Amino acid sequence: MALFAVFQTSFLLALLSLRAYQSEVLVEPLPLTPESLNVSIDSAHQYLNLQWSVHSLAYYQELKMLFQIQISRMKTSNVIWVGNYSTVVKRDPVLHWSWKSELPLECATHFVRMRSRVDDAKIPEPRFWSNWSSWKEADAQKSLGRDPLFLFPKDKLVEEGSNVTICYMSRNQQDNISCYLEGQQIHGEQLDSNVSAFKLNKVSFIRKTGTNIFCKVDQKDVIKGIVLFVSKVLEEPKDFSCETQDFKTLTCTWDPGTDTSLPKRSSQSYTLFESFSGKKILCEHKNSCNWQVDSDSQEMYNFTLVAENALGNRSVSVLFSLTHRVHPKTPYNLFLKNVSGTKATVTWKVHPIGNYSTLLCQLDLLGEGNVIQQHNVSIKENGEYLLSELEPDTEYMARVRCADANHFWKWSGSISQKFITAEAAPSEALDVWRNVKSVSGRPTVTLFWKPLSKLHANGKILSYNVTVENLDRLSGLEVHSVPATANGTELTLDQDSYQIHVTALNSAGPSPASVIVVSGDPGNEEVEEERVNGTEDGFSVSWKPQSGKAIGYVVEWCDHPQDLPCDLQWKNLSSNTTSTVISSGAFRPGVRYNFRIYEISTERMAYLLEKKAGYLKELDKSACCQHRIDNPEQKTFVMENLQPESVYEFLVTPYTSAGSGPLDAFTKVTTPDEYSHILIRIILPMIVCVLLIMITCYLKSQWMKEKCYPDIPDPYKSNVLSLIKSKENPHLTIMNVSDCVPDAIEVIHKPEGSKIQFLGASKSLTETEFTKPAYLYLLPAEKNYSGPGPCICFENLTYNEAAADSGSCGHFPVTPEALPGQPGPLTSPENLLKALEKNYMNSLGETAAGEASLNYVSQLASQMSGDKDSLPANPPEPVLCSEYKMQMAIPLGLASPPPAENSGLSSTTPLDQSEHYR
Amino acid sequence: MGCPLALCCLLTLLLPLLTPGASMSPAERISQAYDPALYMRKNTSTVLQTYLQCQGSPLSDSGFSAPELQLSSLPPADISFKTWHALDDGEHLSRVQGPFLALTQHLQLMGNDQRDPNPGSPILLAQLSDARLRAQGLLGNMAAIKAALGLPTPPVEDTPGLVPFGASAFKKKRRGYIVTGEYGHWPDRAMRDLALLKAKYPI
Repeated sequence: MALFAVFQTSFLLALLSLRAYQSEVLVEPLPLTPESLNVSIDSAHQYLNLQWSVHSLAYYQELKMLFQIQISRMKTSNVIWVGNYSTVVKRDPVLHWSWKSELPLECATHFVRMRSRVDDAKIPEPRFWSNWSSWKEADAQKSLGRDPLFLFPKDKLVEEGSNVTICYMSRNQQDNISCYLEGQQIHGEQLDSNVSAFKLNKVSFIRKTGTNIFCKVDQKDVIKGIVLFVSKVLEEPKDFSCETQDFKTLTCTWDPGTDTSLPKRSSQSYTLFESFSGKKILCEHKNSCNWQVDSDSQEMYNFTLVAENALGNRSVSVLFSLTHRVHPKTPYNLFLKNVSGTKATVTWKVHPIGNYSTLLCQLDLLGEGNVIQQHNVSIKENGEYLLSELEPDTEYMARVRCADANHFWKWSGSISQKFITAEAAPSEALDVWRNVKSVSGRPTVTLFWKPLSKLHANGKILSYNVTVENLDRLSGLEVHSVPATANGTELTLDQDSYQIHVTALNSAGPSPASVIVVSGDPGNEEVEEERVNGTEDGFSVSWKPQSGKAIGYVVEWCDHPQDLPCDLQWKNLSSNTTSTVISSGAFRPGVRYNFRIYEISTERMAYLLEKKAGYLKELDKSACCQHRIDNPEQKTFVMENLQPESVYEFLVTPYTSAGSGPLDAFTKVTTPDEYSHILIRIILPMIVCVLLIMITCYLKSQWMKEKCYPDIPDPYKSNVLSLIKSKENPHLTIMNVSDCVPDAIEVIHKPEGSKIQFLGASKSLTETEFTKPAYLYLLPAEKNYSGPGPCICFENLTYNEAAADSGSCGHFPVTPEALPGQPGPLTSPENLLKALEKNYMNSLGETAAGEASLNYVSQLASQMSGDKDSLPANPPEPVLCSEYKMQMAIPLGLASPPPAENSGLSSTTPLDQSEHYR
Repeated sequence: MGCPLALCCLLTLLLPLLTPGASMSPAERISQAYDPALYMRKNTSTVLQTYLQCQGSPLSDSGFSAPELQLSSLPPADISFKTWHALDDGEHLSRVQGPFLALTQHLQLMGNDQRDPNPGSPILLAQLSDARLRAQGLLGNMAAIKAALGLPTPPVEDTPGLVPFGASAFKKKRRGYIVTGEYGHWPDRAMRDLALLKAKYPI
């Protein structure tokens, strides 16, 4: 009992002392407030890096603590982020923590403070936060320099589709700044009086050289820009698999997807990690990697392929057994040995795979591109297989590929070799028929046979052997060799019976013989012919057996009964057959076909059994014509003697020695009218001739006009002149008008009273009713002018056209229109005007008023000769010197529209010697 | 067709460098330098166009012009006519040699800049390399003319000086824009100087 009491006391004391110790620890305030907080800026990554320490963990080796961090922007009261950071604090630690800012840190000052709390189970509740540390400022703007504008972040690398915040900072608040993304203006949020931020959502890849963002200060030559490098999204490798060809190297391949290469940052890299061995290699290629298999000890592999670039990584894994991933190399040395007509031996080699592996090889035999045989062969290194059931003289291809026999993974590549089997003797007897006829009294047998098909020829047919044996007499065999190109031969026999053997020969030997017996006696040809009707399928022919000992029947006909040769055809039928359908592509409607049915006796002699005749289709009112074109190169054929305005149908089909090709559809042709071409031959030349004449007339219209109906009669060409000359006065001539000297022009006022002024005339003639003709007295142009005698007055009331000619009358017309800009020969305008007015009045009685034209008044040039300086006081009355009146043409320039009213250039027409008018 | 022609021109440009001792008259030297300069002037726009195609807006915008953009290490080719006309023969040559030396170095710098951001544009890199070789060839020709004229040929001042290797991508793009722009102007200036000398020293 006492012992118990002592023990109890001791326990209580110990407990008390422990509690006293604990209370001492807990009561003592832990100095856990973060100290020495330091904040730095990592501009490249936009990190705020925090560093602090916690002192005096006196009683603990380590303690789990929670730190609460506050981050403010611009000012301490603007808290933008609050978060906790939990970590185990050891004795005298320096702690680090980073915060990534979306807004570039250069654009705003940031403030950081923190407090802490013990968060360790060793410390019982309640737990209290420490005091906040003081605010620490992170200001990147101080180191920016003095530029007026800044744009951040610089050269940022982001993945396509992510969000990016950019900002600018201006030194001058008054500046108006606009920002552009690839030429498009962007608008942001103003954070401060001189700071704005732009949030770009889901940025897209534009070019490898980056997306340009720039800002400029309006009215100033300040441009600042940044380049945002947008990377393509790194894809997870696809189709990742590994395999070996030799158990020494594992080759892993994959599809890398999009290339994410960017400036200064190469494309994604690939790392291959194997978890069982713990090995890792950096792959040299973007889509494959080689892994060395060290020993045979490792059977299982667990590969992880990691694609990594500057922005992240993607990985994919595969777990497999090495023996299940064997991809053999392509076999080699494929050869064909002992190639006969029906067999061939194939040999090949494979690269060995390990010591115990067996390969399963697949041998394909291809004919004309199709697999016709397939064999599986298990081998170690050397493969061999005997191919059989081959066709002689046929091209084949042998193809081999291999795979692991125990665990199929993939076929190797294939190797192939072509070969041709040897020839063999033809396998089938020829199909032979005969035609017996009498030539000059001797029976002549024409043998026909059908060429052997490729299947039965077993090679190239070199020739045919025809062996003739006389059955009635003992005689030697007669052998005929027929070239391979022939399909028959002709034999001249006598009245005996003969057995004929026909064989085809190739390099390997003869075919089985085809036997036929012919006799000089044609037998019973007097068989009544029956009618047979054609159907769509051909002619249905039936017969009645006679002897009952027939070994077969033959139906014979001609494909072209109208031609020579008629292209004999035959069909063999078995002995139990009594009907058949004869069809041929050569059958034509409207053509009569004759069929002869023979019975083949046991002696292989043919006896005519029945005759049939009929039409495939009988045609009414139509004439069927068939023309044989023997030249294969001929591509045109003229069908003559057709009826006009008739409908014909035709078709062209090829034919060979074996017969005609199938019939195609008929083409319908209507012949034209008989006379239409005649009309065309006549009418067309006529139209052409008329057109030529019209064109000629048009081109020579002026010449025609002068020759046929001239506007101006030429006195020299007048018939009257010849009469006068010959009969009345041989000295009478036509005056040469170039000798005339004009002295007066009669001007007749237009009835509409157009206004006219004359050179130098201050008074317009239109002030009075200008209804009377005016005469202008003109002087010779040269001083020494000596005009000829009396001249002729010409008159034309209608003529006024451009015709610059010489040798015309020297009269000058005075048109109602004025003549511009020519110095006149008149001494003075005043004199001229006076004379004009005077003579104008005098001439009123001679010219009908209201004539809207010119009159040409003749004058006596002699009176004016040598006196051009003064006008006569009383100019002579115009006297008509001749009855002959000649019209006059005014140059178009002179008859041009009138000048302005005040123009003084009108009537002073120059008498330049180079200008003559008629 | 263009490549052999360019090669011939480059060989022509470099020929004086390879045969410095060959005795030629000043007129021949000037004439020898004139044609390559003319060829260089014709091809300057190609470099600029290729460069801008790779850079994007605003540099590649059709209406973009930034006359205020200049490099202190690369003087502009503009000069008042009065000043230019008053230059003597040696000054005509010397005032072109310095900028061309700067051009060759800036073109080299551009090539380095472009090799980083644009490894997929071998055409631009080749054009920049050609342009640099042409500029070097012209420098050689200028020195040869000076020697033929009996003018002193002191080493040309190395103008580029400090190269801001830490420039941002946008600054590099802009620097390339200025260099390719000046590369379009200086050959014209050089050709005019040579034309003046050619007229003064006829063959």
